[in-house]
Amino acid sequence: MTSALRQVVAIALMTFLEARRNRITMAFFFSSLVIVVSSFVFREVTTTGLDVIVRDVGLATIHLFGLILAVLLGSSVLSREIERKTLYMLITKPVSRASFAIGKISGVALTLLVTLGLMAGTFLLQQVVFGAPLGWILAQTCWLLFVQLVLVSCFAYFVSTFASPLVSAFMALGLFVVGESAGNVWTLAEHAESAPYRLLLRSICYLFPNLERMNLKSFAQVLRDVPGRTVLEQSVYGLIYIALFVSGAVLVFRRRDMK
Amino acid sequence: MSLPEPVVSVAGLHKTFRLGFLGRRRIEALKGVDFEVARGMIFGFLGPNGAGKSTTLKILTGLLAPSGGTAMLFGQVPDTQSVRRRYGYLPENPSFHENLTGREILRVMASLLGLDASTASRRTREVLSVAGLDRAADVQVRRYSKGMVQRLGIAQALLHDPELAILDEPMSGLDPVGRREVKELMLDLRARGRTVFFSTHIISDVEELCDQVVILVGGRVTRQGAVRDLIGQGPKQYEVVASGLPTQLPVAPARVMGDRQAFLVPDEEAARRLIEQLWAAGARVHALSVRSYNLEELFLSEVGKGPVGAAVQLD
Repeated sequence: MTSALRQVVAIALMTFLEARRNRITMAFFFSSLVIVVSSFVFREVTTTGLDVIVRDVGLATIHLFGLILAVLLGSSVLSREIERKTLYMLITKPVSRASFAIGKISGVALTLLVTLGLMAGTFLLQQVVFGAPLGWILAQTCWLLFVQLVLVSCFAYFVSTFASPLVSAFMALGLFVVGESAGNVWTLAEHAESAPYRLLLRSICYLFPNLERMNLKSFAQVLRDVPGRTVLEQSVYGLIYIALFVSGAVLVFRRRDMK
Repeated sequence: MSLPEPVVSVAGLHKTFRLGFLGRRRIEALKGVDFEVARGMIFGFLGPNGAGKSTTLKILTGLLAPSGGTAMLFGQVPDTQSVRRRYGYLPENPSFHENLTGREILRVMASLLGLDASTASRRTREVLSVAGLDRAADVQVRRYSKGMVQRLGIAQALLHDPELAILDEPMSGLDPVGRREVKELMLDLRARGRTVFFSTHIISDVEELCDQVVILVGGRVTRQGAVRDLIGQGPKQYEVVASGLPTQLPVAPARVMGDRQAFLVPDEEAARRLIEQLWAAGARVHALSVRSYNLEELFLSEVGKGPVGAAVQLD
């Protein structure tokens, strides 16, 4: 392992460990597990198919709690280091600022991977316990939700290199809302009568990542398979945006004065 | 024969902070700072709060970019990985990831320093012992007292046994025992040929430890040199101690010690005239002594507060 990679891994593991022992992170995680596990109560109150409801509630819970965690961690992981000056002793060691910045966001991604992995595992176990049918689509959905949330987290991280955690959290939520509504925005643009308005809506579609492409919940709800190639394409699409946001964060962070 | 290269060299260093939404407000923190630190000494960086000490140290460690001038460590710009391997830095009021233990933090630092596993393990044990944190090594930092956090800060700065220790207010938050231990640690580093560059506003620490000192006031170096020489540079004062003084004194005493009063005058002639006046008034003169400025008086005069006990001006 090269020296830079070893440093990135050390910082990522430290970030993960810090997040894992954080009471707020843990509270979110256990709350989400409770909701995922307790979604079977809908069996008593629904007339629709139990499997559909439980899948819907389970995946929506994973998505919602994952989003909160992604925004919280992404917007605060670097700004907390700067605000509390914990990074003074880290970046004065023989480590580049790029390695430090990549290490921090890798730690956030690792935290999301483990958290979403455990939530998804609990969800799949619940499906097995209740004898609900399983399909690859469930794993594919969880994977793409993870890619989507890492993307949102990286955007919050990028904004946090030059703005406050609150601003970066709001901007990341804005990106999520616009990105998840990309299809509707495009349809609106198609039907817009005013040319400037149409241009504005189309610009939004080109500028913002289409997060809807990474949301397969509607397919998972009815266990409709999606080709592996599609999942791969959406993953690469998400990774390109992740790389862009992380590069932006590194560029800003490298020039930043630590007052 | 060429002179040995200074470990720290700062020339014409300026730093201006831009504040406000559009950066229109400017604060000039450093206004052309020059000094050098030679190898193997304890160098004190003395100044009141807000003098620019921490700003200088942050520029030297690459945390801040200078607005002008140069700051070099080992003859190179500080922001390179090869230079960073050669120094250890303790920031003012250090702060750590509070959910990690002291040992975990030092392990991360060892990875960043590129220490191999066995060296990292050995050095971690050693610095934890030196810092007096052996028993708290596996306790999360959020349970540490302020003094323990300071000790952990010192431990991480010395983890790789650096050639140069840059310590920003190293005695801050420590009890008297801790302060004594840190002073002994600094003396030990010097004895092993290491260089210690530390900032402080505690004058007695500088007098006790430092070979050389720079006094920084308002972003400018006002005095620098060997501590002994600096004290010698200050004006001498003559102290006359007398008792049995009349109620109506010819001059105001600088201090009162029971029934005795001490007067300070600026030169020998003034001392002679004061003694004659005191005798004429029926007082008894006990002592006449020459006092040099101490570092505290010199420092206070530099920051514009004047020396302790102003000298008497006789007409």
